[in-house]
Amino acid sequence: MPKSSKTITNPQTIEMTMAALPGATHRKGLPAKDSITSMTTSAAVGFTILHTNEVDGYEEAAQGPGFLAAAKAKLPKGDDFGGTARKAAKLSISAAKTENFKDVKALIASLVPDAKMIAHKPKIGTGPTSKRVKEEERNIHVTAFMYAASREADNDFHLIIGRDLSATPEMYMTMELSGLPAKTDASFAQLKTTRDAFKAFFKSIPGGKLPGLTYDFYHPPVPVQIDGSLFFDMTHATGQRPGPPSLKSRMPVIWEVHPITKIVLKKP
Amino acid sequence: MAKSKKKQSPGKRRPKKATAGPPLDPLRTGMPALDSITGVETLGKGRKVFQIIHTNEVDEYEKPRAKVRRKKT
Repeated sequence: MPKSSKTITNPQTIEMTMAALPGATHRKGLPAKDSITSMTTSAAVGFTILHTNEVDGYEEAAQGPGFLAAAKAKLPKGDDFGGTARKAAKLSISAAKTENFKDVKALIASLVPDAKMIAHKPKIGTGPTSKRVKEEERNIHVTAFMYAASREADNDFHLIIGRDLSATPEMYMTMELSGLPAKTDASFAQLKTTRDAFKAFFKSIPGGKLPGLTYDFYHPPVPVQIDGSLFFDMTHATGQRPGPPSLKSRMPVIWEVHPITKIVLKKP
Repeated sequence: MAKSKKKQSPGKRRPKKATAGPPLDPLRTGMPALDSITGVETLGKGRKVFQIIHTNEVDEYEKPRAKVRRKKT
């Protein structure tokens, strides 16, 4: 790790550093204070990563103390997709024409309501062969900000994408960099290029570290341009919804961009 | 014999629980996460509607309630 970055783990130092971070007081989209376990500050680019203990509520790690270490040990190595739920849809890229959105709010407003998708006829299956339904045959391009990210047990990177800090109301949506399909799959090359671009961004920042099973939050939020296909997360239509607990109340839909087919991250 | 209905003065009427209230705005500042909501109670009617949003959220330092054992008599 280059010398221009510093990682802090002492809770009192974290609190003091947070208080001194420019623009972090009462900023939207930050994690709860007691969820921050450490923070990495890169003075060279004025960028801070807040490492937390927040996980999606449906993950094994969320079951209680002691489960996190076990879940971390089970995280897949490499980049292969490790899940089964709606695998066919998650790893496919829609052939639809790309629609442009300048804001996450406009993208969310364009989606079919969750309740209609849950009552979809024919019912959206959650098995590995479940393909995109008509409403999911859409490609989008959106200009937004990355507030947080994690790497889930199925090897997808979950990106929590939101609006400009000055925009109201505050809202976020999950967009996922999928784990990779088999090399023979039609989408392999594009998904690998996209995943590599995400990795390269963190490599280019002193102290930059890819997110793990628990959510990392970014200060300031990272400006991002995302292309991808729309996907309805039927697997989490009931029970715990996706998202870090600190931001979940402002995530109005379980629609996702999945997979992300192009990502351009700009240093804050 | 038919029961006679007593008229209550408006001041003595108990507030009635309305069956449906205005739709919740999940993005309103201070709202709980949608998946934590276990029920919504709507009190009053017309313009003066008050909603109680029941959730499963607890302070994390709270201990789960111990089961109360009844003493055998």
